[in-house]
Amino acid sequence: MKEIIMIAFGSAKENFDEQITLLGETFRVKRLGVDFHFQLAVELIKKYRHQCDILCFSGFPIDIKLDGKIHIHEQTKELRKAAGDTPWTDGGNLKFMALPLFLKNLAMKEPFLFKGKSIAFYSGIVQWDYLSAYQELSEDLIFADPYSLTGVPAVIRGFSSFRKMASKVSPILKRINLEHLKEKDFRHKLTKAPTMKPFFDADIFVLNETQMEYLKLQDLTGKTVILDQIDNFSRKQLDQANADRVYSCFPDFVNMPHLGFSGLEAILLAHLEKKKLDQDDLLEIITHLKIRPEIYIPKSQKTQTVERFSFVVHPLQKSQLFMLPLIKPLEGTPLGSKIEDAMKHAPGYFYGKVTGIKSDFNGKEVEGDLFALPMTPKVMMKQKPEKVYEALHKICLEAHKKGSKIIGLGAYTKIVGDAGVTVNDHSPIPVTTGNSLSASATLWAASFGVEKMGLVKKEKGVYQGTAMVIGATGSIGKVCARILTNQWKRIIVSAPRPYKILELIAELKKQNPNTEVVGTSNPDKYSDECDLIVTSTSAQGESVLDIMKVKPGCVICDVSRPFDIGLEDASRRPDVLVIASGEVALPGNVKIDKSIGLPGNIVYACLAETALLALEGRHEAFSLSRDLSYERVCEIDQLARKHGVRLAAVMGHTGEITEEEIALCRKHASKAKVKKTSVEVEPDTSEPTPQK
Amino acid sequence: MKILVTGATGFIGKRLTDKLLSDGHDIYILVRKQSLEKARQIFQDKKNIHFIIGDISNNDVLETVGGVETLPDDIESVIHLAAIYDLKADIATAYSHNVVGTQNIIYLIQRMKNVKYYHHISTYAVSGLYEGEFGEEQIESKSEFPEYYSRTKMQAEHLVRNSILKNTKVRIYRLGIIIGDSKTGEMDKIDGPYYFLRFFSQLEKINKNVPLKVLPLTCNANSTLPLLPVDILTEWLLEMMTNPTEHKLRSYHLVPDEKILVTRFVEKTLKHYGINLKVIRIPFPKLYARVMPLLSIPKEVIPYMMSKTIYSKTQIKKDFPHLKAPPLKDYLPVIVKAAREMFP
Repeated sequence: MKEIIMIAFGSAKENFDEQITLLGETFRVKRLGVDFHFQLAVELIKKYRHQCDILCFSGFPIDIKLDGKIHIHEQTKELRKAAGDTPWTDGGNLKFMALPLFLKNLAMKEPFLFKGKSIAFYSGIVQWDYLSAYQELSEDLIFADPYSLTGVPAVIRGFSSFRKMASKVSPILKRINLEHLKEKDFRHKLTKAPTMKPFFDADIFVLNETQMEYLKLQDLTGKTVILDQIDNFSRKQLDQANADRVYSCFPDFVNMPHLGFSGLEAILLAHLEKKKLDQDDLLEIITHLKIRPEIYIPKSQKTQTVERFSFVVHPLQKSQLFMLPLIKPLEGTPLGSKIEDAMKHAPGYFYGKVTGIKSDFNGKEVEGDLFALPMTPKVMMKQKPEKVYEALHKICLEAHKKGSKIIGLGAYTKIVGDAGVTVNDHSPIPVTTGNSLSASATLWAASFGVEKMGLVKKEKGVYQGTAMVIGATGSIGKVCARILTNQWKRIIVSAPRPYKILELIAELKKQNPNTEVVGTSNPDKYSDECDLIVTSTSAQGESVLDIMKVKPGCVICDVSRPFDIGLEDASRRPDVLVIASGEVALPGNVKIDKSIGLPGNIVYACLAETALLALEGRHEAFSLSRDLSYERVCEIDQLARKHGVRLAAVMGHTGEITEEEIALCRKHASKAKVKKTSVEVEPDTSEPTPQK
Repeated sequence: MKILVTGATGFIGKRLTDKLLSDGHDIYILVRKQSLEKARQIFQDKKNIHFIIGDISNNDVLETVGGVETLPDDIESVIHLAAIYDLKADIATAYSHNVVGTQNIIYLIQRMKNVKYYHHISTYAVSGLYEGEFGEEQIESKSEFPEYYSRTKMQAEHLVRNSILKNTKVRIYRLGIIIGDSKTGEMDKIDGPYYFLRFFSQLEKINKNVPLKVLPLTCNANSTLPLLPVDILTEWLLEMMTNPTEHKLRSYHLVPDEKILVTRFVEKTLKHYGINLKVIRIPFPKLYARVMPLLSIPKEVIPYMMSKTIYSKTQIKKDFPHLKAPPLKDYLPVIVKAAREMFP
């Protein structure tokens, strides 16, 4: 059996002596920690170098390659000399190749992990070889080296400044006795100096296990931590610290984090019976062993922290601008008329809070911060999208600072430009438009309308009538068609281009063979047969449907913006229920401290989507751009049901449609059915409220 | 029962091994090649003794080809006494014997088939300079340690506590200061209080010519010496090893109930030497550290005279209430008498 002796600069407490089977071979690995006593390390190497096959060094300084020179610490040289003819490794080769690979994989898997985040290093020098990998992931690297090397409470920001410092200090550093370089205690009161603040404010901390012993655990609360490897001691500490997420760069296949990169490289050397590993060996090993980073989510030992999300709202009418205390006095003055335009230069601001959201499913609580962008739709649509993106970007930064894990775009902010894509690209936290739940909730409202109208029978959960989707080959229309195919006996899909309709019909038939699917490019041909019509076109207000031909009692669900069915059209048919959207109520004892333009505790479905994603811990750009995905809509629909988000208001063109209004509509419909003639126009009684 | 013993030729080891042999156990003792002759001399007339050549500080402890396979399968107990007990030991020696040695023994036990008990001999010094009551299961790696002996013994104990020994129960015995036989005064090495006894022998001569009034001593008013005569210790160990409790891991402080204050010990001892001196405490341990080597007393003993640790005996009293040490006054004359013969 091949024997490996690991000399570690750290504590002897973690010593082990065990047999490890890897690559079909068994090795004995013994760790000897010298408790930062350098001479002991040298003596032990001399004593044991002839009693093992490979020596490995852990926790001693690595070589620093800088400006074409290699700086090797004098004492590291002494160790290597003491090893004599016995092959040795410090794990540097393996780590140098594996670590950047881990980080890349991680950044690909979790794009928001690094984007726009600041990364703090307790000691950049210790991580020197891997800094370039971090530099590719974030521009904001913060190094506490001035403190960890000399005890001066200062930080270095940015890789290039750090590089300059490193090239200056490396020649000196390599002569300083390692025992004096022992990690500085980050619990010291000096670290409270304001100059250290950027370091402790960072989002991500890069650490090794030795440093775990020298820091204040509260400093890691809620932070992301990246560790070289994670042993049981660190696990306990991180649990206590209540860190958010921990990523260990040590391959989780080995399940022996205590081995470290040096131990693992020593095993590879012993296995290959080599003195040094070359690039090809490493490439083969890394591919062969499928090295992946390990993710550890600490068990929070305190009460669960309330997770935060943010949501952007904005005034829908000029009058709402005057709700701002600073602007209020201007109302009615000549300046007041200019204010709408002037506010486009004003930044977004913190507007209010949504509290008390509590999942019905698991009791998890989330809280929302509302940010307002003081632009009316008119101003926003006239602006260059870049201007709006910039304002939204600033809000995203602020939201992130306040601890939000995800942000939702409300009202017109998700319509501007590319519908969230650019904003998401630059945001440190994922951005969602909330469109998936909006679509879902609108269809809930449609079903609710159909039920209340009570004109269609339902058998085994399927409406025994006809539903039509106008604009069915568009992104939203298609999703609606697919959902309705599961709910209706007969579906009519309408779109301008026949070949696209044929494709869709095939798709729908495949999805649900029991449904009868009819295609058309002329919706008016079938409109008198339909109990539900969903219109989702990009007709920009052009008429897509002759409302006078629609069957009495029909529910029209208009999801297009601008609307397909004009207010005037809608009022010509009081026997037809025109729905614009469905808005929802969140579970728990929800309180909203500022008006968002909806009565009571009702919130926009897109806000609810953001809250749901926070409840689920799904920090991802769930809905972006104008495209919708059927799978996502179904998924968010399920999540909404799981956590207890429910339909709270059916919205028409001018606000909430009350049950009385629906009842009235039904009455008109039954009258119309009998008469089959035109009917009187019932005046709309509902108070106009600001629309989303 | 077959028992593997390390350190069997040492001061405590040979007495304990002797008793185990007389009780009829089959004893396998691990000895270094260079100590084999000495070991044969000590245990010459015993039939049930077996010598295994090996060195606990070597990565492969057993020198015999085949390693662990050369040991009989039915060894049921391992008693690990071997250690470097020397306050002046250099770090590499202390570490490779006390830490690596223990690591190696555990590694060996993990590969033996039927070891039911592992008896680890530790020391009260694992507390380091801890202030206050120190529990029997307590271990503080962050305490201050005055020399490498106590530090490495602490590290070793840490490893014992953390090691995975599936079917083996672990006993840790933290010994107090072991002095000569309470009945014969027999002692075969100089350490701890014997440095003082040696000095007192010299003082006795000086005092005859220049009568002194006071003896300045650097110590705390409440510092105690947990003295235990070796014959009592052997008795205790034997009793504890033969009648173990069911605990998977249990640790004991083998110290007397009597609080033997440093000042009182020195005064009483001096009386037996016929020297009437009053001990006065001086608070200058650094100064004292310079003077002591002149008296052939290693300065490493000072922290033990300044100790503020109180060693809890809760577990040993609960599990072995009948184990009682004789009071100091009963055996001190014998100890001093033997010491005076040792240092004429």
